[in-house]
Amino acid sequence: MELVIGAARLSSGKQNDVNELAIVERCRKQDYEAFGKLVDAYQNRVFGFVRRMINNAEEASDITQDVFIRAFQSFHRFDGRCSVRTWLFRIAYNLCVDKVRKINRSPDEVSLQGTADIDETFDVPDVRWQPDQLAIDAEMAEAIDVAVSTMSEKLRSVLLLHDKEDLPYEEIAQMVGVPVGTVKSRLFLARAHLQQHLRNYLQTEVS
Amino acid sequence: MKMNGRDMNERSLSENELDARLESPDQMRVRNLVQSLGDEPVSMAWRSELNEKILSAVVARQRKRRFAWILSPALGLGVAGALAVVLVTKTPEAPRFESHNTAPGIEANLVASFKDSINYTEVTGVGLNADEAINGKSSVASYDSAEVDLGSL
Repeated sequence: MELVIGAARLSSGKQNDVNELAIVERCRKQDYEAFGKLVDAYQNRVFGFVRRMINNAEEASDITQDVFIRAFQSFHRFDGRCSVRTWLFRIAYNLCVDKVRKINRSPDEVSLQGTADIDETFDVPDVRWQPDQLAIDAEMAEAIDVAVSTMSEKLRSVLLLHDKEDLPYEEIAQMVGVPVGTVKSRLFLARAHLQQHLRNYLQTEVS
Repeated sequence: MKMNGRDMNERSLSENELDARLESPDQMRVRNLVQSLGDEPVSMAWRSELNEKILSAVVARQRKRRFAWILSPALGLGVAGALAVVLVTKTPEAPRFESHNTAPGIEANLVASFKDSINYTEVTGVGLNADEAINGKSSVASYDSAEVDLGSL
């Protein structure tokens, strides 16, 4: 059977939905093979999200494995009210938040001083700034990753879930446990932070 | 334009205003940049490790299910047996029948008579009845063969 879930799901079609439903049904019955297909479809996306949330490749690997193991073990509780993608990202988000909070509590871990938070002031640049004219090469991608890593967990999660994973505001709000308006304001601030950070990066490059 | 999260809350931008800001060209450019970020590929070793973990979860679940399948009837039987034993041993005693017609005096007289007979037996030994014990004369001992009228036999 052709794999039509995961990334292909975004293009959304009736056939895709039917196939995904069939795979979900098999996963509910603890079908190892069907779950393997689900993992194939989402492993890179989930790992990418976790990797950017945690900033530690090794821990991100472990957390991503944990996401799929938990999903497999609790698939019978998946009620289908949201997509599998949203459900997986919800598990991933919860595990990442737990991890980030644990890191914050630990005095020996990396300090979050200097990371952007909701209270931080951003200078929203003018419209002459046009980064889309630049090709997204590896260096640029790294700069974006660095900028994302300097954000607070609250801004980062909303930015990644909405802009990278394309989840709707309502689902993010439900996942994060805040109103939709708060999700939007966090997204605005996260983008502004990224814009500012990349502008600084570009200026450094030019000089 | 300087702006932070508190300002946004205090100014309480309407949802439409916020949507309009999010749809601005600057914001959309950033969105496109983030969207264009690639996914992070996982290694084959990572995947095989995950497969092993999931398989072990499957095996553990099957073992648990099998154990439950065997254990649950045994457990049910055990509980039923224990319940039966408890019911049998703890059956409430039948209420004692008390005759209202029996006069207490009769019982007391019977008991007293029995006790007397025991006492007599202890004092006089077997073979004497109460009267003999009191008179000190055995009915057997008082028998005199000379007084027997043999002719009448």
